[in-house]
Amino acid sequence: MIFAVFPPVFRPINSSSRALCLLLLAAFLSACSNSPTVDSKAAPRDTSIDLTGSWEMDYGRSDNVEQQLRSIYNELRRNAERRARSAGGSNASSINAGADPSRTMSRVIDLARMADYITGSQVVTIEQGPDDIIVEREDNFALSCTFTDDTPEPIVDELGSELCGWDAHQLLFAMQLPDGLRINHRLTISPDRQSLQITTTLNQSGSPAGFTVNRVYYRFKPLPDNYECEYTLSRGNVCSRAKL
Amino acid sequence: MHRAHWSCLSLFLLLCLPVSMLSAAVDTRELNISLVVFDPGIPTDPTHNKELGIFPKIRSAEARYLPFVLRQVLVDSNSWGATRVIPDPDPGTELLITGRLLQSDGIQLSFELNVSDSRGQTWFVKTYSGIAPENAYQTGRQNGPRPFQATYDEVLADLFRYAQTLEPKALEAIRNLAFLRYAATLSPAAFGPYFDRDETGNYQLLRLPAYGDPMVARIEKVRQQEYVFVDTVDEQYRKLFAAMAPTYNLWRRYNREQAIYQEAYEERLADRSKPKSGSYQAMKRSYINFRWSKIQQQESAKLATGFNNEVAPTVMQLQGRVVELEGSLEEQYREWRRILQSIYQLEATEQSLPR
Repeated sequence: MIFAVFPPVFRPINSSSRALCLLLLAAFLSACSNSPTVDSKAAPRDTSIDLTGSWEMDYGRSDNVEQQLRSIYNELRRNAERRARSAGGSNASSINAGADPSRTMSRVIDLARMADYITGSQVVTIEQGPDDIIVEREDNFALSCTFTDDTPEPIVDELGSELCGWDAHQLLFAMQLPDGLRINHRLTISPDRQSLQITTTLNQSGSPAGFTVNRVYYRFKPLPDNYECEYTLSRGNVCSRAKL
Repeated sequence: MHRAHWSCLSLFLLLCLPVSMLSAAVDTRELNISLVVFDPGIPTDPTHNKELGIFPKIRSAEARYLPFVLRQVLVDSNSWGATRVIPDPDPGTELLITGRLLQSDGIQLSFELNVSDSRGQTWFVKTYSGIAPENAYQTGRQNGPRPFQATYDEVLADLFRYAQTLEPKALEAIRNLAFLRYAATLSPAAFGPYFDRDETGNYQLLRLPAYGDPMVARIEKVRQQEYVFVDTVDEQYRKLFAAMAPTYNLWRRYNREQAIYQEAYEERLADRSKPKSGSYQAMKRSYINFRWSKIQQQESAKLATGFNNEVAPTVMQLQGRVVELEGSLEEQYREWRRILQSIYQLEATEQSLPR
């Protein structure tokens, strides 16, 4: 459905293409490292892309996590049936057919719950400058990135590490948390600049499959504010009437 | 107790000198000091700023602010000559102090100082570090010790310690060389031959100008004009210091509280029992912790913005203060030196014209 609206730049990832996505993600995230890394072959930045604006979630075009889980469950069940029919045969499915289906399902459910938890922001506000970008997410921390011409280096601290950068027209944020949880956000704007898609992929070390959820946002104009406020350290927000 | 008394008291305790300052080998009050605005120590790669907790605009303001604090400590000690903050190193300086900020986060302050005299001799290069005590940024302690007072006192003690090793003859050489090196920047041909520079970069005094030399009088006149300008610049730094001090202390106080809270939070985390690795609970906890640390960082950035919003107008006012000269204060200073050089050349030409 969305594929038809935004080919080929803006394409939600369905369950059948998940295998490809996981492979790409595997290249993007170094599973053996404690820090996320960017594929050195990432495409150069498209400097005409500007994600600035206020964005509100379009539930109709965003993924439904429950539906996704149902389709994964069906795929696992089919795999299990196939395996029962031809024991020991190879399988090309994205879900590891060799793993215990109930255990795999349990892991995927955990990842899906996490993905739902992480991507619940209804409103996203983005400010992009020539050298940096801030993606403010409602009820979550802001994703921020300083652009560099060199290969981006991860920012590491005790509670996790993160990496960001452009992959051609897409802005990527990769995070690796202790205990092996890897989170990857990929932001893509539609050609008409009216929709923004945030594709979030979660991987957990030891988990046979990752989980990807697409959230689509539409652009909206916030109500004009009659006050201009400036935050100051000693007096907090100082507001004055906006100049007309 | 007044701040000057604190300074003197802690200095006395630090020094524990075997001889009183009055009986020191040299009278340090005869030695003028120039403090150059610090190198803010901002990494060239901006992507590291977040990781290092560096906010460039705040660092730049600190680079102007902290030398002034040190200047106040030196002035309060009543033991040195004129002490000024200048934008660029000056060859006519008797004692030059340059510095680089290494860390400044409310809890810890670290900077490296390089102290050298007009002979080209380095007194010392040393890294100073201090931890702010719990009540360092409490309001209403204007008369108490400054935050990191002990660190500044350590600098003062080191300066004294080195000065004690100087012979009166050395002090005289420092003062003469400062004058002659300054004079040589205005008239290299006339004043260059009075001193020499060896391969190690040290300056040797060869001889002195004749008593009553009219060129010396002209240089003195130009130098006095430069002092007037430098004092004006110094006054601007004083105003910046006064305007910035309350906000800067608030910023450092918030930062300190945040850092302490973060430490306590991490300790609490370590104490909690861990859920099964890979489970939803474990992942959620891991994410919440990461989110918390990011929000902390973003809160610091917000404070930095609040700081900049309050201090930036003062810094901008400082930069555009001196009329008829354009550019930043640093550029104005260089421009002023060029003007002085032209004035000297003009005067020298007029003097040599037949009457």
